Amino acid sequence: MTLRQRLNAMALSCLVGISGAALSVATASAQDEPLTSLREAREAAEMRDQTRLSELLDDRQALETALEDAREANQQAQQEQEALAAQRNEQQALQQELDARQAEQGEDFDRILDALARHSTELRESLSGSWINLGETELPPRLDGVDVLEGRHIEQLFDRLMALTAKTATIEKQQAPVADADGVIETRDVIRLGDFAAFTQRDLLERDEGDSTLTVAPRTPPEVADILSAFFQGETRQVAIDPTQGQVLAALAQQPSLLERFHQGGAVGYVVVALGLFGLLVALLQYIYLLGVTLKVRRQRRQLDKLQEDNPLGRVLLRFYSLDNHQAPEALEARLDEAVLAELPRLERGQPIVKLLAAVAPLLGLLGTVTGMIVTFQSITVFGTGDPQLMAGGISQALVTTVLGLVTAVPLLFAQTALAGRSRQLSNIVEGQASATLAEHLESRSPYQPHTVNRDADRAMA
Amino acid sequence: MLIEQWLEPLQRLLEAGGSVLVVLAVLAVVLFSMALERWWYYRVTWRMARRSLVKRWAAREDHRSWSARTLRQVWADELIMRLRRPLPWLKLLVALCPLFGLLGTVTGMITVFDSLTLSETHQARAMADGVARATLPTLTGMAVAVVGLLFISRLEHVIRREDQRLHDRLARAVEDTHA
Repeated sequence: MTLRQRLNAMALSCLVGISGAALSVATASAQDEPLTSLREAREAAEMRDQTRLSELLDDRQALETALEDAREANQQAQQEQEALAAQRNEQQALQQELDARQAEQGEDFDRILDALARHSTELRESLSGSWINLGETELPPRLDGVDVLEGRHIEQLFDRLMALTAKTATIEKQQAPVADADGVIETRDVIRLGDFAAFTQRDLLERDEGDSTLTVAPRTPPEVADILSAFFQGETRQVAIDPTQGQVLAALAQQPSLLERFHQGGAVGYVVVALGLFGLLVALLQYIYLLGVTLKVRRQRRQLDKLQEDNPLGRVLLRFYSLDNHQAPEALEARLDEAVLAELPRLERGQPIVKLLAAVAPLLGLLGTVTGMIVTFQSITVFGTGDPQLMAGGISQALVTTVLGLVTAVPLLFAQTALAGRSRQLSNIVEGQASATLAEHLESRSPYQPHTVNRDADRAMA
Repeated sequence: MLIEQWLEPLQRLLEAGGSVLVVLAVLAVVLFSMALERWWYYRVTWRMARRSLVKRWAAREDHRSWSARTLRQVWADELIMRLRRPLPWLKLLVALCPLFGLLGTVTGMITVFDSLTLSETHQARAMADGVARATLPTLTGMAVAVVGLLFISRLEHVIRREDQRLHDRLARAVEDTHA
């Protein structure tokens, strides 16, 4: 009876649902029709539902078959449920067994897997900047996402590692895109030397960490470039490598050239060099003048009877001959000395300034040293002593100015010595010749007359 | 083979001291050869020149007048000047030695600081090379300069003595001829 009641209720609710649907359809279709027609339609639908319900209640046979169907379905579902429960039990047993086994061995395998994953990651990282993966070499596989360790993982890692190791012993020539100093990327021939280096025809290469593009090293020394190009063309078996994986190259790039060193000297350095050049110019001009004077004096001494105004010796002798000859020898000598003395400033011109500059240049270098030291100590005050590179700027200024001062002083000293030597020689000649002429003159006045004096004096001077 | 063995320490010295040592070596060679030349000049040429001057002076008839004394002075000065001529250059070379030594020291210091900047680690080994380069040139420069100074003081002494001796000889020559 209960089943019947339930079925009735089912059928009823079904009908209500249908009538609801019909109602909704009716409302949807009759939206723009008058309300009266809507009510009529609802009433008609209710009437139809009533008739269908009564028909169903009357048809007992149909209800029976439906009930049979439902029973059969129920039985089938129960059978299915039993089968599934059995399967579940089976699987639970399997899981228990597996859990037990894992508890027994799993810890060791986990550890191995962890170590493998860590090592493979580390290897990939450390090899990312290495030269051996320059071509299409495969790196060891990533094992981070793997849950269960399998034999092939270990084998793969091992094989890759062996392949990479073998590759470190090979020299390969291949084509690769290379960025030059201007950033233009071109495909060029590249030779890779094991894990040490790679280079093109003239330049060593470097690569960024993780980035696969190659760049030309900032400063390849010319001798290294020669060796490389010879190796490239197969003329030599000698080759230059950087065993520190790029550190030496970076150091070379940092090392300043001679000109950069000069500029490190700063303002003091410029002043020192400018002063030195000025002193050298003065010395050069004066030395050229002295050379001219020497030539003229030499010509004058060859022809003492034709005195000329264009050289100190000629001027002194002309002055002497223009004097009143009948004076005491001492007075004549005094006059002569005076004439010689008047010639000296022109011969010694420029010497004081060259001497001064030669003395000042090292002093200025010292000044630069002290200012550089001050800069260094200031940077120590600000940044501390932790990083020697921060102090390097001031220190190189300090040292470079000293070098510049010394280097400037050396040629100036040479110039000064040359100037002093020549001017002294000239003044000695003028003085000696003038004295000899005076003596000859006096002797020609005196009672005995050795006329050889002039020639004697000449020989003595020669 | 033997020469190579002998030269090896020298080569190592040059490697340790850098290029300034080469300059100093050249300087020292020039300095010592100039000193040697002076010694040779003093021993051989100078004596001949002095003798001929004394002879010429003795050949003169007049030795006492003012003009004769002036001439004697001129001649003697001329001869002494010839003996003295390379002295300023010797002095220059001696003065250059410590300068170059200092130069080598400073360039060596630059090497030290370069290696400091590059290596970043406070390695004593990295600095040792530069320290040798810094100290050796100063040492060498000082050594050469000291020897050069000895030469110079000796030469000056010789010149002073010879100046007096020349005048003595000239005076004695006159006495001998008049006696």
